[in-house]
Order: sequence, then C-alpha cells, then structure tokens
Amino acid sequence: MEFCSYKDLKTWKDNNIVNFISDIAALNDFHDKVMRKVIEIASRRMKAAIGELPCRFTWFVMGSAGRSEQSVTSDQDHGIIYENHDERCGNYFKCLGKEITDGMEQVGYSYCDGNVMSSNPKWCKSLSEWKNQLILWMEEENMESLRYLHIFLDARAVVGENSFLSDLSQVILTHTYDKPLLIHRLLANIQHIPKGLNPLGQFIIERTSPTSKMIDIKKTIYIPYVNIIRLLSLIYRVTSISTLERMDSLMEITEWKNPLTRSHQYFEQLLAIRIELSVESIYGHANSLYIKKLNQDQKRLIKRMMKDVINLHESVERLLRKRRLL
Amino acid sequence: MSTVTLINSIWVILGAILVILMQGGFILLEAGSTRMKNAGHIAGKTIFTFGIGSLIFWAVGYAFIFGEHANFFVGLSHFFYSGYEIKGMNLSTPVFFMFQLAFATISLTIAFGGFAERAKLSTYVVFSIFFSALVYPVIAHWIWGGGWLAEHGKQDFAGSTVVHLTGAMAALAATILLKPRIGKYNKDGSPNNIYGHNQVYTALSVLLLWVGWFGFNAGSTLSVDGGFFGYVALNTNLAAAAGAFSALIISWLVLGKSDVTVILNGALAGLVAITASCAFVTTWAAVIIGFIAGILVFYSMRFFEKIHIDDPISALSVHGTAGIWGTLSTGFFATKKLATVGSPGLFYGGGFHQLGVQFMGVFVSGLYAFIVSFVILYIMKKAMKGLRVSEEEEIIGLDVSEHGSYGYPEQFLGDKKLSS
Repeated sequence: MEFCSYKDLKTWKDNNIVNFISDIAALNDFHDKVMRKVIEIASRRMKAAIGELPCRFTWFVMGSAGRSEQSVTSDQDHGIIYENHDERCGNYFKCLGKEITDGMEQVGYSYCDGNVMSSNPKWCKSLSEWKNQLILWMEEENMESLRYLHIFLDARAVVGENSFLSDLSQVILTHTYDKPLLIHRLLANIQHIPKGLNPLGQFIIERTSPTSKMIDIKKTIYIPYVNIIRLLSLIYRVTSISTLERMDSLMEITEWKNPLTRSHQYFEQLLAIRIELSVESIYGHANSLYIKKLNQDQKRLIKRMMKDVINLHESVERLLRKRRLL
Repeated sequence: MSTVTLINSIWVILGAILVILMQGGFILLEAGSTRMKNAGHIAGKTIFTFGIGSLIFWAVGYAFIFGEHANFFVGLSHFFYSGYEIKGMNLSTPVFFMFQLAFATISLTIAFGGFAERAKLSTYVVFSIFFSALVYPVIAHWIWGGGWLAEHGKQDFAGSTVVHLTGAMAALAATILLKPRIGKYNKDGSPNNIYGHNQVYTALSVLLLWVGWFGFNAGSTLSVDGGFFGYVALNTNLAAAAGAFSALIISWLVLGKSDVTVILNGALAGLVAITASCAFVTTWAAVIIGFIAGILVFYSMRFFEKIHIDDPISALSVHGTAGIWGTLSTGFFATKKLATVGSPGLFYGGGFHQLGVQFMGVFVSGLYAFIVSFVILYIMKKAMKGLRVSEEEEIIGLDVSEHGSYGYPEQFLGDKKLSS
C-alpha cells in the first residue's frame, strides 16, 4: 500500500489498529509496519527535495518499540546510523532525521521528552562516530551517558542495514567483557525503584492530580523489570531485545530458571494489563491503575509483582557481589 | 516589692519575650509553607495583626478576661489598663499583662493560618479586631479568668484549648467561608499539591517555635517557686521530640517516604498537645502525649484535604486536632501529685471525672470559637463584599495585589527593572 501523506497514513493507522489490540506481537508488527511507511514517505520527500540517498543507513527504534512492547499509544525513541563519515552524508541524514521525527509526530507518535530521536545529532551519526560515541559513553560512566547506554541496549533495526547495529552491539559486548566496574555502574543507574508498597505492605496511592487514587505500575513494576532483565542479558551476553525473549534465553541458565519462570509469567500479565490500559485511556494515564477498580485477586497479583521485581534486583546484586563485581 | 516578686517578674517577662518571638516563628512557618508571590504579604501581615491584637488586648481584652464584676462571658474592669499594680499576684502586673498579651496575639496568628494566600488585607484588619475582642477573651475568661470552666476544674495549663484550639476554630470558620485556593482541587475533586516555597524557612520556624514554647509553657508557671518551670520545660521538650519522631515513622510507614512537612508538623503537634498537660503529667506521659499527637496530625492533614478544606499551613491539624488531644490528655494522665487544678486522670485513680470536664471544656470552647468566628466572618463577608481577593489578584499574588511590591522582586521583575 502506498501513502501520499502522513495524514493518510495516520487515518489508516487509526482505522486499523483496533484489529491488533488483542495480541502484543501483532500490535508491535503493526507499529513496525506503520513506522516503515513513515520512513518511506520521508525518504521520498527527501529524494524530491535534495536528491538520492548518499549511502546506506539503518533506522532503529529503542524503548518499548525496540523491545516490541508498545501499547496502542507510544512516544518516539529512535536513531540513525549511516555508513559514510562525510559532510554530505551528515547533512543529508540530519535533514532525513528531522523529516522522520516530524512525520512520526504527524502519524500519532508524540515527540520524546528526552529528545531521543533521529532529529537529535546525538542519535543520528555515521557508523564510525557511533562507535566512538559508545566508547565515550562507556568510559565517561556518568549518570547521563550510562542512561544513554541503557537506552541504546534496546535498539532494534526497523529499516535498512541490520549489520550496522550488530557491529555496534559488538562494540558494547567487547568493551564490557572485562569491565566489572562498568556493569556495577550500569546497575547503580537503575537501582532506584520508586516504592509501590509501604513497609506495612499496603499500596502507596497517589494523592494528587492527575493520578490521584491511582497506583503507578510503570514506575514501580514495568520499568524495574525491563531494566534488570536488560542488565542481566548484558552480563550473560544475551542478544535478544524484547524482555520476554531475554527472559527465555536467561532461563536456559540453571540458576535463573526458577526465579525467572515466575517473573516471566508476571511480565506477560503486566504487558496485557498495559495494553488494556492504553486502550481504555487514549488520552489518559496509561501507566496507572485506579485502585478502586481492582478486585482482591488483582490487588494481590500487583503486590506480588511489586515484590518479585525487587527480589529480582536483589538477586542480581547478590550475583554481582558473588562474582566480586560489586 | 519583695525579692521573690521581682524574680518572678523577671522570669515571666522572659517568657513574654520568648512568646512574642514565636511570632517570628509563625512568619517563617507561614511564608515557607506558601508560595513566593505571597511571601512579603504573609510575613508583613503578621506584624500589623500583632499590633492590632496588642491594642485591642490593652483596650478590652485584658479587662474581659481578668476583670472583676464578671457576667457569664467576660469580666468588666481594667479597660485601657494603665500599668497599675493589682494586689495578690506575686509578680508585677504589667509583666503579667504583657505575658497574657503575647498569648492572645499568638491565638490570633494561628487563626490567620487558615486565611493564607487568598484573604483580602482588609479581612485581616477587621477580623483582628473582632477576634481579639469577642472570641479569645471569652474562652480565656472561662478557663483562666475564674469563669465557669475554671470552677469545674478544667485543666489547661498553658492553653491547648484557650490559645491553640480557639485559633484553629477561627481558622476552620475562615477556610470554610473562604473556600479552597485556586488550583487546589480539580473538577473531579482530586487535590493538587501546592508546595510551600521554602522548606528551610519552615524547618527553622519549627525550631524557633520549639524554643519559644519554653516561654509559653514553662513561663506559665508565673513563678520561680521550687524551680518547677524546669520540669514543665522538660515535659515540653519530650513531647515535641516524640511528636517529631512519631510523625517521621508514620509518614514513612504509610507513604513509603518520610515527609518533611509531616515531621515538622509532628513536632508542633507534640508542643500543642503538651501545652495543656505539661504541668500535670509525668515525663513518660509527656512522651506518649507527644507521640500520639505526631500520628494524629498526619491523619488529620489527610482528613482535611479529603473533605476539601484547604488549610495551607495545616493550622487545623496542628493547633486544632492536637489541641483537642492535648486537652483531653490530662483527663487520662494527670497525676494525683501534680493535679493542682482539677482532679487526677483516668490512669491515676481519678476515674472519668476529669476526662468528662476536659471533654466538656474542649467541646464548648471549640463550639463557641467556631460559631462566633463564623458569624463575624459571615457578616464581614456580606458587609465587605467578600473576604477574598479577586481571581486575578489571587493569581498574580497578594504581594503585588495588596501591597504593590514583591517579597522576592528579582523573581518577578527580572534584573533590568531592579537596576534602574
């Protein structure tokens, strides 16, 4: 199917997305399809405006899109890797990055608050620049660069050369291989988990607008799961991107089989809840649950998830201590 | 004048000075707990209301509380007190007058906590006069001036009821009539946090008040006899400490994070609660009274927020809820030896008698303060075309709308206009 404009694409997306909301894999395939169409339109416009592509490139997504865990609505997290390091390519992809970012917004993916988008020079670089940037981030080890590394670890190529991204992943794997301190720093970067339960085991309920009377399951459960599984995958050199696939691979390791079996179940249920929430609240607070709408079983489940993810973090800390990484 | 009278006078004037310095605590407390755009106004109004309160106390307040020829509500001599000695006091009368004046104005300042960030300047002026003349003196007369509650043996050593609850009840009437600040509640009824602009001020204010409270409670011995003021100070300190600690624990347990505002209010609640009982209870009881006050204040703050009463500096919880608890606490904890007024409490062999007296006292006093304040404010609202500033004035802030200048000019004008 050809689309002439972002507007047409948005109409098509809005009309068809309802067919995919029951299944997270199908929903994410659909999002991928929409995003590829955005790149098609953007590339066509660039060709008309300033000419042919000067070299090969990869457009990759990160965040929930990278992990194939997007709900109905989602914001943008993406970047570009281009092959040749020269001025012409630099200028060309700078324009393309901006075109894509604006196009994505018009199709319904809101701009990223953290500016992790192809329009940002930090996330639109030649392959060699990317390598240098990753090494710099790993050597700097400050909070910001470690956060960027976490983000980049969820990168998945959607358009173009897959090999560029695997080259870069290799850079990270090689560089972290013998660097216990870096792993430790990456852990420190994700160790803060906002509390979902008070010391008496009761929910901590938001009191003020816009999330009053709600509990935030994104901050207290979802993100902590994603973070710790990402780090564990890096430690064991697992290359999958989606959290469930990462868990599948990690469960092949004997000592993680048992703890992760439970977490795997919880995470699947969590993704289902997240999709349901995003369907219900097109404008609203897809990351929070109204406490009053939950029955006893659901409350018990959420509490178990909150405890499980904390246990998982503690297990990883123990592992690193045992390996004298901490 | 005998040496003992002189020493008593020095001690009590020191108490008066400490209590008047508590106004400085309230300036920091209120300014720190509210927004920058209202800071100059809130700080400044405390000074002129202290002034008005002082003048009214001199003209009629003292006479109503302590005068002779009393009717059911007030006494009727010593109007426009001119500094003469009154016999049988064991301390200089002007000193006693100053000490009592300090208390009356503290109650007024507490009341104004409920007005913060939305009342017109003229509302403060007019209510200062009527509260100081018609609300505070009646309750002070009933309990301290030989009125009917004093005859029942109501225990309120330094004023959990007289000063704190009275102020809080006026604040309650005001919050109800003024309605919540713009932006406090959403259409669906959920509350928003309106953060105070300077938590350091607020914390410093609590320390100032804590120290001032030694004048408030220990000064209320009105004499140096037997060094009993030291014991009162000890109990006061223990209750404040326990209140701060229990507020820390309860907010940590329930919220998962210990809330600084709750901790600060816990210390103040401990102080308010021990005010009634500091001379009548053991040190252990002081700790328990303060500890319970710290927990009560936490739940009380949540309660008032939930029922849509917008109390920007938690005056209702700190002075009202803790004031009630403090007054009732002597009904439980007053000991046989220390109960120089009234009878021992429930836990010290006195049965329910004193608890009943305390309950009646707190109920009637609270009701009187609320109803009379409400009526005064209601009439003012009609007569003055509203108690509250306009929406626009509230949004630009009372510093500029009521006074034409800013507490923090750089914040609002930028550097250019300042340098000219």
